[in-house]
Amino acid sequence: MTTTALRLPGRRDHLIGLALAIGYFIFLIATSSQVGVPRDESIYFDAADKIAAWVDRFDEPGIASFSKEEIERGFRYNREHPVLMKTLFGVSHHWLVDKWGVVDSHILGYRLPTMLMAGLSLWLTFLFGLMIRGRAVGLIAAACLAFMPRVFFHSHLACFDAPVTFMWLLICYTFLRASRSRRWAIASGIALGLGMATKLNIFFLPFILLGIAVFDARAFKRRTGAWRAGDGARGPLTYYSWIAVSMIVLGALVFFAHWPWLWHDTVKRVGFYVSFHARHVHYPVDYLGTVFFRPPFPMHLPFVFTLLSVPVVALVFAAVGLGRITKDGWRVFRRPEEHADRRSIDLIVLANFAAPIVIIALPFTPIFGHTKHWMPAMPFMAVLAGVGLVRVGEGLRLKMPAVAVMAVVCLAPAVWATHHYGAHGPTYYNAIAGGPPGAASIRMPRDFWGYGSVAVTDALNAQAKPRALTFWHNATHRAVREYQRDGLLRKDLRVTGDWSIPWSDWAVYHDAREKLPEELDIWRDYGTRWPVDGLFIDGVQSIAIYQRPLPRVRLPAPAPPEAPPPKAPPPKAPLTPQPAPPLPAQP
Amino acid sequence: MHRPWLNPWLVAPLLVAVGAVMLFVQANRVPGRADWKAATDAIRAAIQPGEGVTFTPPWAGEGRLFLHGLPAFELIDGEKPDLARHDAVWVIGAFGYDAAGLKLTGTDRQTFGPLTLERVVVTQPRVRHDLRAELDTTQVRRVGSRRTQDCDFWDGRAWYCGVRGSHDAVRACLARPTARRFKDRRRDPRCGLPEWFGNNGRYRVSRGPQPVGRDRRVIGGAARDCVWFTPLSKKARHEIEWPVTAQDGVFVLNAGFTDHVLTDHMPQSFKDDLTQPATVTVRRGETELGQFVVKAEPGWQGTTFAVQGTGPITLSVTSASDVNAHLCIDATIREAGQ
Repeated sequence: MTTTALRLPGRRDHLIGLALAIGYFIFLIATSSQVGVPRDESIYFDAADKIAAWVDRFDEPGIASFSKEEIERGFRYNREHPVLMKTLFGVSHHWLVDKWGVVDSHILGYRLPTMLMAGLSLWLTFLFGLMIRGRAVGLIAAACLAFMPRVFFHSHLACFDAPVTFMWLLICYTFLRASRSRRWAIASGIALGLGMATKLNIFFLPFILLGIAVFDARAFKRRTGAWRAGDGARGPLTYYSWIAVSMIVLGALVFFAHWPWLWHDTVKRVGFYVSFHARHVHYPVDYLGTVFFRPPFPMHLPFVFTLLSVPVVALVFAAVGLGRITKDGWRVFRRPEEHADRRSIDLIVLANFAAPIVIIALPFTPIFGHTKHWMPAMPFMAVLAGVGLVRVGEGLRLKMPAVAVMAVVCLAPAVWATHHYGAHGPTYYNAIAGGPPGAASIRMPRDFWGYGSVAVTDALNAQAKPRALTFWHNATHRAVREYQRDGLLRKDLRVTGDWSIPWSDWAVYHDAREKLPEELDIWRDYGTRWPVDGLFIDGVQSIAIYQRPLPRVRLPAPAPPEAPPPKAPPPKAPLTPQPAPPLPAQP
Repeated sequence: MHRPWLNPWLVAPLLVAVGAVMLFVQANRVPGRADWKAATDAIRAAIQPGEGVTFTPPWAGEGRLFLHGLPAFELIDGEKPDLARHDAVWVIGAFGYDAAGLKLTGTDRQTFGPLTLERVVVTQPRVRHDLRAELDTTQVRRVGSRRTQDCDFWDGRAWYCGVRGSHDAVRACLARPTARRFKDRRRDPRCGLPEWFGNNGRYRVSRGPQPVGRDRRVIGGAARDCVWFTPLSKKARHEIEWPVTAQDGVFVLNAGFTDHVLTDHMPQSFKDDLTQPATVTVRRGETELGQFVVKAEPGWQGTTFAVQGTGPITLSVTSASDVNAHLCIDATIREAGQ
């Protein structure tokens, strides 16, 4: 494989990208009911409902005025995050489920915008692969991204991580195109605004792009001896100036326009937004046997996590691709005159693979969702894997059909892993870690904010008595309500709420080391430490279900203290073997 | 020109293939529920009084589904497990772990799919008295500078002091069905009993007297069975009077503060340095058997004293402060031995 000229996508390429996006979108829809609702997603459901109600009142006189009161009613809740995605979640659910009834799952109704963006991420990943090394690289890259179990998991959720991954890609793509087209400069500004309207991570991206622009402009200067192109021609400095203006003006405008909350008390509210994230609380981070409750966090955390939680095929071939692209990028830098057309794409892929991980590696960056926080790096890693796999095929002197066969064979374990673990993505660890059991042995975390309880609804449906009182630990009341609305959980089961073990007969526990005291609360109150069912990934506990073993009975008054009965030394096992409980069903 | 016998580009797909094989091997090492049931059924058929059951590694959680009704316990301190409460322990091994990995000698090895089952005869000096098991036979009191208060209400788990109202009424309340307790949860959440430092109370700075009870707390990163024995404010002390028959042997005392109050909390919750060391004093009659200062440091700390004399043994705990004093102890009297 040689350093080829930058290939711009044609209509057929976009059709392939569209097909990939649609296929992945359908795949995600088909698997949505297997993916539970984590705490943050349930909060975004609430926020989405409020915003959808605001949107639905557009035709009312009060809302038409965009009065402060109406805006506060719609946007005060969860105001620490911008509202693009929450608006899409709410509008999607409100219209597709509640109003038109074309989608029969409430959870899916909220999630469709994320799934759509995850599909579009595949399209853009394919385009990046295509532009850097050709169609085969693009296809392999898209497949690598689709079959990362953790990416697959987050691609379902009505949260911001999959959308921001898409936005990151979109901004990079528009930036790349705008580096040689004025029209695309407008798109890049709008894309940046949409990205900032999605999640805070995007604020880092302009600085990365600025570095790339400087690098590219410098290469142009070395090639031509001047910063600017002569004779009315446009050089990189011109294009990057347009991009900068567009990003600053259009980006800020889109960000401001999308968020009605900022239209009143703007300075104060922007200040709150910035300060909330600048002083974000630190949640526990469980990593290699230590639960970190506060910074500094280990700098190797995102690197080790990536090494253990991305399928081996992507790691191995991304390593090959990284070497290849680095070498090519260096060659382009050294001899820009020979590769005038490639400009900055190698650097864009390298920088955007590294930057999201490096940002998280900084010891004071808040980390509380583990791998999802550097998910924007994954499409670029997938592109590197595509480059690597094709390069290996060339090294083995394989023709393209044989490369395709090799790609399919190599990707098969990742496909299996996505099928097997994808619905519980955060429990997935690759063969290097030894799978979920190996990860447990080195004490890596395996649950994430209460999403896993969806896997035990069948057990509760089958075993709990009518109107049983159930405690859901880390799953929110809203999450459980959504399971009930979607028919995943019996509607008669009652939810006791947070910290309510004494008033429950069934308790769901989400395994996490920092939550262990809460499992002990269940043991203490129920008088047993053995669950009756649960979700066990490869034999390792992810969710445990406890049942209060006996009805409460009135205790006799203790013997008078004057004559305490001396206890026989140590307690013995019962002489009569007790019957074994029935074999719980496999999840 | 020399050509390598192996095309170096083959290394990458070979690595992927190795990964795939490892996945296959790992998947085949996972015991199924039928394996766990078969192993625990075998134990039920053979277990004798005084024997215990455990499993290794502790994260092989699926096996926990099948331990109901067995005298089972989870292994903590895997390097040096304390098995002295049992004559023998049945060890179920999964994922290639077994008794040998715990430096124990197992016999009668059986296999159930990928599980192994071994019986380990305990050679450690045996436990003759266990405070946690015998807590319901003890007398607990709070001794202040002016008065002594008996903690005379036993709820099946702990001794409570100064319970208001009729004890019978509290017992009747505790015995009400869960649905009724749920209904009354706001009006009378704990049937008039004080709140333990658990549940959401854990996330606040805690102080004030607590019951003395059988408990399980996370100390030194592990869930430990222990007796919740929190110190009172500095002029008072908690006392447990423990009727024991042993006239000799070794008094083994382990203790620690919960990880939560020492390290495992978020900085916005409260400070690290609120917990003060506690002193546990062990007496028999007029003789002090020993005294142990539990440092306000993470981990499970321990000491031993020689047992002598007759009559009940009295344990008392004091501290300079009762703030975040989440102390839990394990006290046993064991045979003298190595």
